[in-house]
Amino acid sequence: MMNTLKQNLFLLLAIAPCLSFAQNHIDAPKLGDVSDGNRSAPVHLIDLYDADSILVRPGDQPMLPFSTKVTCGKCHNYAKVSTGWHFNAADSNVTPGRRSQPWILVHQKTGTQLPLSSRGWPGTYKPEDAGLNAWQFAQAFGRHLPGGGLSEKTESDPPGLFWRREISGPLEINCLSCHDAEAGHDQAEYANQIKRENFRWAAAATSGFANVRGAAKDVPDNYDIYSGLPMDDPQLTAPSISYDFSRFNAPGKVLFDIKRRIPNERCYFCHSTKTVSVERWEAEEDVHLTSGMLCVDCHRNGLDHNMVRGYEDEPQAKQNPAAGSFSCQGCHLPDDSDQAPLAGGLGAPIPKHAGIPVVHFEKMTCTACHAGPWPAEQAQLVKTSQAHALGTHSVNRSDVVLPHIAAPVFVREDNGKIAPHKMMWPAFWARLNGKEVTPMAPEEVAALSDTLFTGVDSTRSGDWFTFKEDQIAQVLKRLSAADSSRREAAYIAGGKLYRLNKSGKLTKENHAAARPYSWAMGHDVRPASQSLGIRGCGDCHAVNAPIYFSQLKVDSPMETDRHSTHKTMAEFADLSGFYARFFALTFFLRPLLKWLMIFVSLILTGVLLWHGLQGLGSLMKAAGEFKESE
Amino acid sequence: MSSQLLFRIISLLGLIGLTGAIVWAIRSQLVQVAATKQTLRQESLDLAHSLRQWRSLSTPALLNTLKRFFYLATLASALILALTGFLPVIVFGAAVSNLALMLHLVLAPLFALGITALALFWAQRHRFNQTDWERLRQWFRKEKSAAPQENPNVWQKICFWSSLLLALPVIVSTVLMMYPLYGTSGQEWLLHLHGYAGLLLLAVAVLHTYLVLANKRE
Repeated sequence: MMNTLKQNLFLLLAIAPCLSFAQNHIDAPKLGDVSDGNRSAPVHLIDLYDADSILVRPGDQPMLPFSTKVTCGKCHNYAKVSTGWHFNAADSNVTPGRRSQPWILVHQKTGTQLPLSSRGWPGTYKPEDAGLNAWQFAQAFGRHLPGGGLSEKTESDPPGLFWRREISGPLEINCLSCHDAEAGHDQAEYANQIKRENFRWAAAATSGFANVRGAAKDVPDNYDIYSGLPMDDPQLTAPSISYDFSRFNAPGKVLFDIKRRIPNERCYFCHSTKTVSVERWEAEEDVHLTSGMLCVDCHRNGLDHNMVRGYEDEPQAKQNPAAGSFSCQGCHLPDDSDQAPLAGGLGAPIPKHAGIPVVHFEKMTCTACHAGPWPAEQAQLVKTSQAHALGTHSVNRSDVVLPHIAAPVFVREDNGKIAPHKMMWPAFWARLNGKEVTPMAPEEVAALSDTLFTGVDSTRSGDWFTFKEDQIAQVLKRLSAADSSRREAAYIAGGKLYRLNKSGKLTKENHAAARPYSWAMGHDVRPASQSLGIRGCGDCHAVNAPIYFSQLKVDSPMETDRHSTHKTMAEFADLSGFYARFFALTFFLRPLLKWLMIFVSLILTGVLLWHGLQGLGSLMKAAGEFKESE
Repeated sequence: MSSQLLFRIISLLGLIGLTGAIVWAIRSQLVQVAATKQTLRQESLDLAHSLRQWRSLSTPALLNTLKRFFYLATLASALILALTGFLPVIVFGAAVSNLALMLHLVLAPLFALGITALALFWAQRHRFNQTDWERLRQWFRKEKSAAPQENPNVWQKICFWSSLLLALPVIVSTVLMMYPLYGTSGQEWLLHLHGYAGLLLLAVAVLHTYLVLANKRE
C-alpha cells in the first residue's frame, strides 16, 4: 500500500514539470506576443529555422525549407495561434457560430457538389464522411488554407501514408499567407506546392526569396529528403529549395516585411467573390475598403487569432461582448446601454434611417439592404476563391464551372432575420440508412459505374454533364448491388432525393439532405446611396420586387431540372409570395392614405379647437358664475 | 428595460385591466349580457333595416342612420385594430406583420374616416354646457339629482372628447411615420406614441360603449 502511494507520488512529481510546461506551451505569450506599447512596426530581421530547429544558412547542403512553426514560433506562441478561427475547424470544442462558406467537393463526372465542413454546420458533411482523410483534405483544399488545423493533423493519417508524410511533412500554419506584405509574396505558388505534395516546402515557396523545384509526389516512399540526391528517372525531380542569398545579411538573417495590419490583398486571395456576369472593370469594391479601411480593421483578433467574424449574434455565440463592437451595429448604431460611446468608431457614419419603420430592423439584417450585389430579376452565378480556386495558376475561368453558387438569395436566418446569402444546391451520391444520408466518395461512385458516366467536357466548361433519369436508375442499381451490407443508394440533386422503389423504378422525393445550403454574405457593402430603400419603399414593396420575387434556378445536372425549375426568394425567406404581393399593392394606395390621414387630422383638430374649446368655455363660464353666486 | 418590453408589459397590463373591468361590470350586474346582446341585436337590425330603406328615409332619419352606422363601424374597426395591433406585440413580442398588419392597414382608414364623421356629427351635441358643470359639481359633492339624465350625459361627453383627443396622436403618428422625417429613435417614439394613445383610446371607447348602453337602459 505504502509502496503504491510512493510510486504514485513519484510519478506525480515526475510529470508535474511536464504538465506545467504543457500549460505554458499553450498559454504563455512569447517575446513577440505582448506589445510594449510602441506603435511602430517591429522589424522582422530574423534567423530561419528548418522543421528540426536547425538554422538555415546560405550554403547548407542540402538546403531545407524554413519552417514557419519553428521560425515564427521562436517569438510567437504557435500553439496559441493554432487555436484561431482559420485553424480550429476540426476542433469539436469550438462553437461553430453562424454557418458560413463550406469547402465544396466537386466531381464533374459524377455530378457532385458536396458542401463539407468540420464545423458541423447543418447542411454540411464532415470531410471524413465523404471519405477524405486529413491528407486528402489538404490535397483538395490546401490551396486556399493557411495551413494548420485539419491539414496539419498527421495523427489521423492511415498507416499507408506514413512514409509519404515523412517526405511531404505536415502542412504547418503558413503565417506568411496573411502577414507577409512583401510584393513578391505568391500565394498561388502555395497551391502549386500542395498539388505536388510539397507540404513542408509550401510556406517557403510563397515567400519572395525562395524557389522550390520538384515534387514530393514523384519521389518513392523511401526517399531521404536530407540526402538531396537526384532521382534515377531524369524526368522526375525531387523537391528542393534554393534561396536568394542576397537576402541573407552577414550574420545570416533575413528581412521579412511582416504586417500586423494585414493588407487586403492577402485576405482577398481566399475571400474573393466574383459575380460572373460582371466584368472586372465594372465591379465595385466594398465601401469600407474604398474609404481606405482594411479588412482587419473590423475582423480583428488577439494572439489567439480568434477573428471577429462580425455577425450580429457573435457576442452571444462566442461569449465575447467585445466582438459586438466590430459588427455593423457596433460601429454604426449607438447603443444607450454602452458605458462609453462605441458607435462611430473609425469615423463610421451614424445613419438616420429616416422614414424606415423600426420593424425593418427587427426582421432584417443590415446586410439585407446594404451588402452584396443589388438584387436583380434572377440571382446571379458567383464564383468564390475557396470554391473555384480563384487566384491559382490552373483555375478554370469558365463562367459555368462547378460548383454553382448563386447570390444574392434572401434567406431567413436562425435568428429570424432575413439576410442576403450565397446558395448552392447539394448534388451527391449517398447511402441511405433510414432517413440518414451518408455521402459516398465520388471516386468510389465513379469506379463502380464508370461506364455509365459518359459525359465529355470538350470545351472545359466545367459545367454539369446532363443526367437522364434512366442513367441515374442504372447507377443506383449498381451502387446498391456493390454494397456488402445491401444499403440503399440514392442520388441527391436539385432539392430532390432520387432512389429506386421496390419494383426498381426511379422515384424522387423531398428530403432534408437535398435542401440548398446557404451562407450569409457580409460583403461587398454598398454605399448608403445604393442601399435598398434609398428610392423609397418601392425598392422592396413592389409587386415584382427582387427581394421577394427574384428567381433562383434550381441547380441540378438532371435533364428534367436543367432549364425550367425556379424558386423565388420569398420561399427561402419563409414568406408568402401572395402576402408580399398583396402588401406591395397597398403601396399604390399609400399616397392616398397619407393624404386621407392628413385631411382627417386637420378636421379632427378643427373640431377639437372649435367645439371643444367652446364647450370648455361654457364650463369655465358656468364655474365662474357658480363661484360668484357662492 | 427596453422601451419595447416596457410597452409590451404596459399593453398587457392595460388589456388585462380592461378585460377585468368588463368581467367585473358583468359580474356585478352593471352590464347585463342578455340585455346588451338584445340592444346590440336591435341596433343592428334597425340599422340594417334603415340602410335597406335609405331612399325612403327623411333627412333627419337618414342622418341618424348614418350616425349609427359610423358609430358601429368605428367601434368595430377600433376593436379589430386593437386586436391586430396589440396581440402580436403582447403574445409574440414581435412587431405587427403579415395578416395582422394587412388588417391593421385596411381598417385604419375606415377608423379614421369613421371617427372624423362621428366628430362632425356629434361635436355639436356633445359640446359641454352649463348643465354639465352642474352634473360634475354634484358628482364631486356626491349629491343626488332628481333631474333625469341627459343624453348624452356629461360622462359620455368626456369620453367623446377624450376619444377625439386620443385619436389625433394615433392618426398623426401614422402620418409622420410614413414620411422620411424621423430617424430610428424618432420612428420608435412615434410607434410607442401610436401604441400608448391607442391603448388609452381603446379604454375610452369601451367606457363610452358602456355609458351609451347604460344610458340607453335608463
